[in-house]
Amino acid sequence: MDEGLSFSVGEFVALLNQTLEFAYPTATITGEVANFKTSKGKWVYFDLKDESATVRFFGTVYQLPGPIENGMMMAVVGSPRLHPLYGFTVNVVRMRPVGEGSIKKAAQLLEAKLAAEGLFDADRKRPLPYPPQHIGLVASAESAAYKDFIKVLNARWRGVAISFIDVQVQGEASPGQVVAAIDQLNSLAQPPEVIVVTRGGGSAEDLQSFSTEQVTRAVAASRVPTIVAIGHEVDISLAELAADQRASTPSNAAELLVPDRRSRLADVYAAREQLARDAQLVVQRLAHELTGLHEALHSATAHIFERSRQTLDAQRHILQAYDPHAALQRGYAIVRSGSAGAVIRSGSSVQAGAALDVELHDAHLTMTVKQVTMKGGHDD
Amino acid sequence: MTKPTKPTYQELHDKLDAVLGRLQASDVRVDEAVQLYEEGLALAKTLETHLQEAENRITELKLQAGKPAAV
Repeated sequence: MDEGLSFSVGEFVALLNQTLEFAYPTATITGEVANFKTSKGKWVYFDLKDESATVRFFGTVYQLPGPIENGMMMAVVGSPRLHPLYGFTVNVVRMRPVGEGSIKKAAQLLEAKLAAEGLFDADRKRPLPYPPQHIGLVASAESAAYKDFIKVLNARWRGVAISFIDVQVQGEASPGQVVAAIDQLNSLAQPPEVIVVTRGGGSAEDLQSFSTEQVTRAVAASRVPTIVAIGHEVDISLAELAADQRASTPSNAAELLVPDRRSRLADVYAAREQLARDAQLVVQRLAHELTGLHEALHSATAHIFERSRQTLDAQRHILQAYDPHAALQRGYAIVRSGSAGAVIRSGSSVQAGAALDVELHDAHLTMTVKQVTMKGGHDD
Repeated sequence: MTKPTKPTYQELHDKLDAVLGRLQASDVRVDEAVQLYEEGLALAKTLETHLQEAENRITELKLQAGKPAAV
């Protein structure tokens, strides 16, 4: 019998590892997780098993997609190795849950963990600018989601600058690209006012990228407010929970971001009409004020005239009372000297034989004085 | 990207609201009213032009070599 090659133990292990590394530098092994445990918060040990076999795996917590539980189906990319002391093991490169059930379970565990950290808290949500002038867009250029978002945005609003980064929205490279795109938009010299992350619907596996821990954390950590719209209305990814706002579809994201310009145009037209009405009201108000002033002026003038007229009437009455002709009516007479025409006020200025003029109310009498008798009893 | 000095649509819209508010005040003088009316018309015209004629501009940025995907 051929005894084959001969080695020391150490040489044998080294040769097997060389052979394994040459034949299977990495391999993807899918199976159910068992005996999962962590050590010192850093090292991870678990088995993958199926009906016929069990294989041991070793890795670090940083390679986990999120919390892991026994019973979950995982696809693990790893390098098979024979450890000199502990035997055969597969060193983990990366791993992800597979199958609807495990993906959901993984998402639930991750959601619970991130929720406990407060990533989804309502008080973390920031208001989005409305409407923004600069939007960052993370999507796949070929996707219906991208086309729908741009179409609705163009229909609704104008004058927006969109900084777009084309990324894979499913597959292994997707989470890293989405995270890098969010970081890149945040690092722009003039960052956008809001970042939109979007893709259309798909299977739980297709949408998985947006429920990974790294994408969810990148959305939550973005300094620029975020709006995330992934998949259908019913599937809510963890990235959507971490976003400042969630939209049900890519079109809905555009609707939430900007107003409908037709309604805003109607507002502008209404404002213009209001402007004309208000200006007219100001003119009317001022005209009314002028009329009021005019009336007040008129009324004040009329009052002054009335008072003057009353004063004048009173003066006229007084004048009438002192009119000498009125006394002649009552039987008095005015006696004047016939030659000089001076009014005779005293008998002492008249001598017998003088000619006098006596004025009655309706006639002048020419008289000659026969005798002057002064009151007091003696003749002149 | 829009220069920061250029007022945003919302700022112009708020300004138009303020003009309307002032025009409706009871103490506005006639010369001020004329000025407000003209200013309001100009603002409405700018807003209308923005809504009718402005374009959306898409700039595609190349994804810079980011961190490698861990999943």
